[in-house]
Amino acid sequence: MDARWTFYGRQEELGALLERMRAGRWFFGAIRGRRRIGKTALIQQALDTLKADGPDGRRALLVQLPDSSPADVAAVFRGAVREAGLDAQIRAAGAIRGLPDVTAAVGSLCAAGTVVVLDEFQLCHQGPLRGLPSLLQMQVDRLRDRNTPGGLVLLGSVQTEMEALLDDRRAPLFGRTTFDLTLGPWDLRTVFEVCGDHGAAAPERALTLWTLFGGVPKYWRHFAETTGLDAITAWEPWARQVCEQLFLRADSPLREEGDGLLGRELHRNYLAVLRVVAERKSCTHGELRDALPELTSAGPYLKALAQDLRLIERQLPVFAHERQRRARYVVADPFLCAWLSALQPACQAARIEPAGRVAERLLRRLMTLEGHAFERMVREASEEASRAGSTDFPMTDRARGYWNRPNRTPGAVEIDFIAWNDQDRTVRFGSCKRSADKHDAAALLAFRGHVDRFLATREGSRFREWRRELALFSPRFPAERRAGLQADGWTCRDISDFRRMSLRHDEGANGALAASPKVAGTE
Amino acid sequence: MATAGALVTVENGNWGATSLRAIHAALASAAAVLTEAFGRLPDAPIRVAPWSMDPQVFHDQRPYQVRLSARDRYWSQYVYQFSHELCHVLINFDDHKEHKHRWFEESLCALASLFVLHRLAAVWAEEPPAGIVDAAGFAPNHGTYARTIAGRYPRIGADVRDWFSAHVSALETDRYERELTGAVAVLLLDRFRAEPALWRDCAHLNRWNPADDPTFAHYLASWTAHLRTHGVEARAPAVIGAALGVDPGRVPTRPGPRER
Repeated sequence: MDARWTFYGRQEELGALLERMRAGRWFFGAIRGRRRIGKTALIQQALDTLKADGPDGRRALLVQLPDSSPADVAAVFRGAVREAGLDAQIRAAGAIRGLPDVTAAVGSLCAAGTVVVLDEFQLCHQGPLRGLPSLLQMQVDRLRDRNTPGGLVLLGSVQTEMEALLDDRRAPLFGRTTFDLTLGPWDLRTVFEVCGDHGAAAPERALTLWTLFGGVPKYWRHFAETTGLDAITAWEPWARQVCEQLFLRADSPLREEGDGLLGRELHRNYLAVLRVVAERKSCTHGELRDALPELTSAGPYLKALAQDLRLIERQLPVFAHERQRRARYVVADPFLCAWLSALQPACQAARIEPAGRVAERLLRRLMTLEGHAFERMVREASEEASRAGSTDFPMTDRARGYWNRPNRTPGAVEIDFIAWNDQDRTVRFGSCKRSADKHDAAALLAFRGHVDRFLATREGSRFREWRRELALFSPRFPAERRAGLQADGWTCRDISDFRRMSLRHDEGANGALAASPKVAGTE
Repeated sequence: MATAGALVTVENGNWGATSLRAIHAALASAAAVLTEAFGRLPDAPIRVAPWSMDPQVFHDQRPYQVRLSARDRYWSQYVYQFSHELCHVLINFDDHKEHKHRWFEESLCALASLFVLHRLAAVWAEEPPAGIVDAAGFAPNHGTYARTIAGRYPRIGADVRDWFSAHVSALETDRYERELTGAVAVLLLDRFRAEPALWRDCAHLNRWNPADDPTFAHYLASWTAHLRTHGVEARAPAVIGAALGVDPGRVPTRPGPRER
């Protein structure tokens, strides 16, 4: 692709981080988030930005902790100090041999105004590096409250382990951080910006890539650095090439990604729980217990996967029965959803079948996945636009949960999207289809039926007197189709509409950023 | 001699994805254009900080305290917001805070934003400020932004006198009638772009007490008298009066304006 990769999104987080780092006081921060989410890129961008502020920009040392012995950590640390040209700030840098020497050196560097970044800090939870937090505690207590411009930043990816290191009352570093950022996936605004910069502005392409990558920056960068895709004009051969080049070939950068991510982030039982949820599309606590009888309790795993890791989502029934308020769990992370349901089997098959043939099958599976992904995109884009005040439908809330059968109502009710505004008593019902053609007469009639039946329920009754808007969502509405539907009173919204709403045209063009360097890290 | 940029300090805060140096470069280039047009520098340093509300310059603060809502690298938005607030400073907004002609100040400040954006479209292309990546490449966006903003305001038709008579009361009641003040700004833009020296006359605003002027015609007459008292030709009041269909020469003769 022609466009250079730059640092995308994260304006709020970067701004908050820079504000802390510029404050002129020593800081001790943590940046958490799953692998590939952009923790290292964020801190590097912050350090580069500080350098741009002038000659007194921060000196920095980034050390990626190895998953090995204290002696190896010391060796890696010595190498990083030498590489950064910071030997002069440490007495006897060559004599750093163990963890106490490393932390003493960290203290010296911080006191001299350097920002020290320790990546992969979750490794200190257990194993040979578990003594590091206590040693760091001494340095942190010595340095805090100092008017020194330096600081210490810990980056860590495994949420449960980072929690044990920083949030547990008994942990040496508990309550000491001066800032603590948790990075989630990119918002859709950033996704649309990247799509526009890297040859995927067409709605169908944006949807495919979002289905595959969600908002994980590293995967998007791999896509952006893939050559030859620009020249393919039709969606199908383009999507096949994307799958082949990124996942299915022997040298594909993401071929092992899902397994690597699951293996590193999730231990044993978490992985088993996630697989069951993915296999069944959605499942209850009870179904999970039946599927995994060896688990004494699935509750803690479900809680961690849903609340801490945000890999699954807990959904309650829309029509909540008094005595049967059963939660169901679904895989929420788009990449994992695609990986577990389509990519992993395809990657395995590609070991013994030609990649092209596997890609054909994967493409068909992908189309089904895109239908679900599009519904999620509509929900997220609507919320984002409402939050940003750039929407045609400012919402105060929306329906969440899975559709169960309502009491005393003939026929099922299932509506893809319901959002409302309490202030002006307006409700928007939405139907999502992957193709605008699917919004045909029969589908529109069925959609109206679902809305009418919903309004007849106890839950829907409060909207009966409200102003009602029936919205149709598709990745792309051809102008003629849109005009026809709108003439009949339907509201039509597609990905281009969401893109326009999200890209803050009110604020004009966003100036260029220096191209971001390839961020070092384990692949 | 101090430059406009030297008087501007960018305070720490959450400015998003950009360096303080780059923000300063953008604000300094806006300040350079506007202070050159006014022919003078602000009478005190200006400190600029981010916040999430509408942009503002606070009364009775020295150094001047400006708050902007622009973030990241939306350079045109920085220029637009800061030029507006700087214009308030340069037209002596602190001297007289309560009078019915403040809508005109808002119009002038909206005009200042558009004026500076158009100038910077050329200035950044020719002499891009250091500290902003690809400022020269960005330059045309300033012009686009100015045209987009201007395009949002209603156009005042051929009968300006009728338009002004119909709306002056609303303007005097609420100086933040943005559609109306914006329409006045757009009406005046070409005149100020053609004759930037008109800004020099604006540097004398609020040096008399506008609360003594019962109508906008009186206000223009007082401004003219003040300028003449100080040996200035007084081009701007006539140009603005003509543009709005207001004749300052037809107001009842009064003693010269009370100097502050």
